[in-house]
Amino acid sequence: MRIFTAVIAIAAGILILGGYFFPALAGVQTLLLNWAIILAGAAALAGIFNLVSVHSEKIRHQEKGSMYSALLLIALVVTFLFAMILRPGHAAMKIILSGIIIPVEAALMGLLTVSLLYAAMRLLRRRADLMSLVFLITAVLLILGSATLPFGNMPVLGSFLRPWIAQILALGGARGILIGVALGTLTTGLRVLFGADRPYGGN
Amino acid sequence: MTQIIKCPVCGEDNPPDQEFCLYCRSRLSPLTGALKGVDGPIKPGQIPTKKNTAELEPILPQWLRDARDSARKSAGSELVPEEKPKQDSFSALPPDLLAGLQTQKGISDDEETPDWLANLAGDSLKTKKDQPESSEVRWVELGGVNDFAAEESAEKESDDDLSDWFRDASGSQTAPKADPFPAMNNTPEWLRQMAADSQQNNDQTRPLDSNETPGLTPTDWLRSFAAEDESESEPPKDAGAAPDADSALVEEPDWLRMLGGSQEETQSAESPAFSEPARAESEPAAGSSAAEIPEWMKNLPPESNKPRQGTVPLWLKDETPEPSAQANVPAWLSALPEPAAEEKEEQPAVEDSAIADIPDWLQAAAPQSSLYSPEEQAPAAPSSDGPEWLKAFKDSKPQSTPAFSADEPLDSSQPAFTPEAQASYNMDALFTDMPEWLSQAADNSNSANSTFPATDSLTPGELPSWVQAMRPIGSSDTSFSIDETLETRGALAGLQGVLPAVPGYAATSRPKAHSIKLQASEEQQTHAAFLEQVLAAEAAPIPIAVFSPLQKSRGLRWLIAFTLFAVLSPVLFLGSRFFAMPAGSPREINSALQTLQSIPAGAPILAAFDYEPARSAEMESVAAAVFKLMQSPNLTVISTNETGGILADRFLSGPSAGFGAEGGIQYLNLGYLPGGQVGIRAFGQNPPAAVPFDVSLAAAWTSPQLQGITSLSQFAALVIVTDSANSARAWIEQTAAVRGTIPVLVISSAQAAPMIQPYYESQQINGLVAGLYGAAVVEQYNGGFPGSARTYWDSYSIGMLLAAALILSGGLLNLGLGLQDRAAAREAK
Repeated sequence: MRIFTAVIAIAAGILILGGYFFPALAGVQTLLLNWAIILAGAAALAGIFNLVSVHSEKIRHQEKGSMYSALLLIALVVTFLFAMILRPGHAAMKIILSGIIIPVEAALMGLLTVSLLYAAMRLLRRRADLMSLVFLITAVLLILGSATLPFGNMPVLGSFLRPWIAQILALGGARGILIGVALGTLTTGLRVLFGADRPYGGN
Repeated sequence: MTQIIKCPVCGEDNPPDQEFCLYCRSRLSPLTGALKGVDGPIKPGQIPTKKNTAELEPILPQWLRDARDSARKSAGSELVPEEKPKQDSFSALPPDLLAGLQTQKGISDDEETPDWLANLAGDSLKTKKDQPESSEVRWVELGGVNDFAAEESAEKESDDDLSDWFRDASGSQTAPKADPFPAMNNTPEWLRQMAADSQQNNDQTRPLDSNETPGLTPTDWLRSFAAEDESESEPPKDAGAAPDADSALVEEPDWLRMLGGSQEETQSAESPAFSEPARAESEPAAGSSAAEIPEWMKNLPPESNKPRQGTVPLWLKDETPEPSAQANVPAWLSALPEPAAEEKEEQPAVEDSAIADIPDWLQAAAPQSSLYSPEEQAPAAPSSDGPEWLKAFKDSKPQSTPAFSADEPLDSSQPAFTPEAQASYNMDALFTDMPEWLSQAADNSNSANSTFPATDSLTPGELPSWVQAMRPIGSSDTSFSIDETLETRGALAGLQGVLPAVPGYAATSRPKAHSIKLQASEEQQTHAAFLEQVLAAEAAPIPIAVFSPLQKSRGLRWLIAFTLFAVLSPVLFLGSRFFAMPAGSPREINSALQTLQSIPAGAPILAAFDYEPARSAEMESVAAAVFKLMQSPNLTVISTNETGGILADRFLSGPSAGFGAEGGIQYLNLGYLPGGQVGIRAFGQNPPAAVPFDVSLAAAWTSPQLQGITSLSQFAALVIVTDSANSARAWIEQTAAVRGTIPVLVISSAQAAPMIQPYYESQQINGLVAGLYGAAVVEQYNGGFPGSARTYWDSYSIGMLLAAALILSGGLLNLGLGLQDRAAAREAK
């Protein structure tokens, strides 16, 4: 079975990769990509079903937090039913979105602000080293450079330091990260094609 | 201090003048020490003197020499019909040490007889080849029969090589035969018999050739002497050939040669016991029969030139009356102590009876060294360890009438050994019967009052004294610890001293199990443990110094939250516009503005809304500022996020977007595009196939907004509204090959802007507007149209300043506190 799955994965990868170089394989590539889209949608449904089953078990066993699991499942079912019935463009759906989804997530984002400030304030007490100090100083400079004063931009910080940090330091770091991500993606793909990695299952 | 010689065998002390040990009868002084003259030791560089093997005969044991003589006799007697030897007289003899040699019967003489022996035998052996093989044992012969026959000549007895005892025997022929040593009650019987026989031989001279007994006897050579004496008067038959014939014979033994010289040198130590061979007698005898007489006998001086000498063995000769006789007394005999008078009487009859049973040739047997070193003889010290039969010789000293007189020549007409005596001898018995003297010698050597054994046979396991004397030191114990159990079963039946083949004897048990565990001492284990600790220490991670755990401060969190609320809420609710808008315009924002201005009015624009609801406030502010610069865009909205479609719908239809239904902006919401990057790839290659329907499940690509659009490149622009760098990267990378030259604008949050900036720098996108800062910049170029960015700008700025202040103040405070805590911890340590 492991060999069978490995053969399918490798064959599919080779065909899709070959579609970029051989026009004859473009149709096969499209077909396989369409199947991948369908499978991704099905994977989302599988995720939803898994979520339902986990919380259902939690409710059934009356574990700690089962009330929240019940509330989750109720919300899921109601939203699903409303979307299926009323369609996503319906006003009710917009009320749910505007009244529940967005405020909740926004509130969580606001808490993140307090948490980040709290962590920044106590960082030097937990780890008083050079990198911690540099990190805090950089953050403060960028924060000050992003804001303006009543009379105009923050002198030096807003007109020079902030653009310089964003355009030079941050950009260089970002490029390095992106290159690393690209190389890692390439290596992972080759490993899957060669059968070295089998993330789809099997050893 | 008297020198003492320590016996090398038994370790006992002996007088310095002793040649043989008084206890074990082993030689005290080496033979090589007295070697002189021709027989001296060969030094390095010297060419060894060629010697005849016949010269080695003197060093052979007497019993061996006698056996060889008998063999010669048998060789010569092959011309005569061979008579079956009688075994009666020897049946009572003790078992012979050489009993095993009987297996040599039947072997042809030609195969066994060595060349030198054949040469000695001369014609007599040559004639043997034509004759059938004799069943008798062939002993080594040093000469022909006639060689020894010449010695027996009574007329040339003075040059004869017969021992003195023969001379004495010849001299005492007139004496009564019964007891040649009447005064020696302890004389072995066989010895007395020998003396008696010698007397008979003198009386009964008998040619050896004519009346030779068919049996092989050692006394044949003695008889041959008598025969040669008779033939001396005869002219030499082949004088010319004699030398040649003799030269063809075996070499003259040294003992014969030396007999001629020892007449002159009576003190020579190596003169054989049978002293002064009658060379003069042998020479004429050799001339009489050239083929038979060895050369050495021819060279013997004439009888007249040489003094007469008796044939009595030296060891039998009386020492005191005759110095020469004393010289001829065997050393081993002379070394014997004077037996006590009572000891002499202890073995009267037993010895006589024992001697009578021993053949004559064995009766003449005596230890080797004693026969050939008469000069070394010393007056025997009184000792009770000597064999009793030897004591008879000592007792004979004061006798006026020795048994054998050296002055009296041996009558060759009377051979020492008579045929009758020899007829009674059996060659087979030589190997089967133990000579009495051998059996007796073993007993006498170990006990002071050893008596002559009553029986003639040697008990199993007993060795004669001279044999015991040759045993190595430390093994004098004759009693071997041998298991004499006779095995009666199995393959080893008949053997002694073997492991019993009894089932179950060998305890069958499982082999001992040996532990495979490493056997290490405590020290080694300690070292191994230490090494293991060292290795473990190398691999063990260094623990980070953990200070006192920082307690969670809820108050600080509440304080921060309260401060933010308290400061920002009034500003937000008041809608102040106190803080200035940012001045200047980054390059990416300027490019975006230029791109937006290049998009014609009513052009189809594909907008991807891939942001989370949590950041909808920021994203909608930025998107609103950008979308307001579009000129009646024909938007097609799509999202790879599950909530993107509805967020897009909320943005485009809500008041924040500024469009509203009143704006008349029509847009097509394609909804959710599954598959992530794969979906984007598929959509880029074939959009109608990837998303055929919109969120209302109506055919999207036949609607007026997407009329005539079948590919991504047919859109006027691609606007990506995202708060994630990955989503922006996916749209940029997956559509790069299919979007053609359409501009790409990215509207992102301040968080993702640094990761998307490289795409702008690499010109993969045409503009980037990020965060509230960008929105504020874009709104300044909107002709003063107020937007949400201006509304939020004062609170945004105050919030930024507050955050910076909190971080700085709080950081410094906590830094001080932290240093204080570390100092306290160090002091505590």
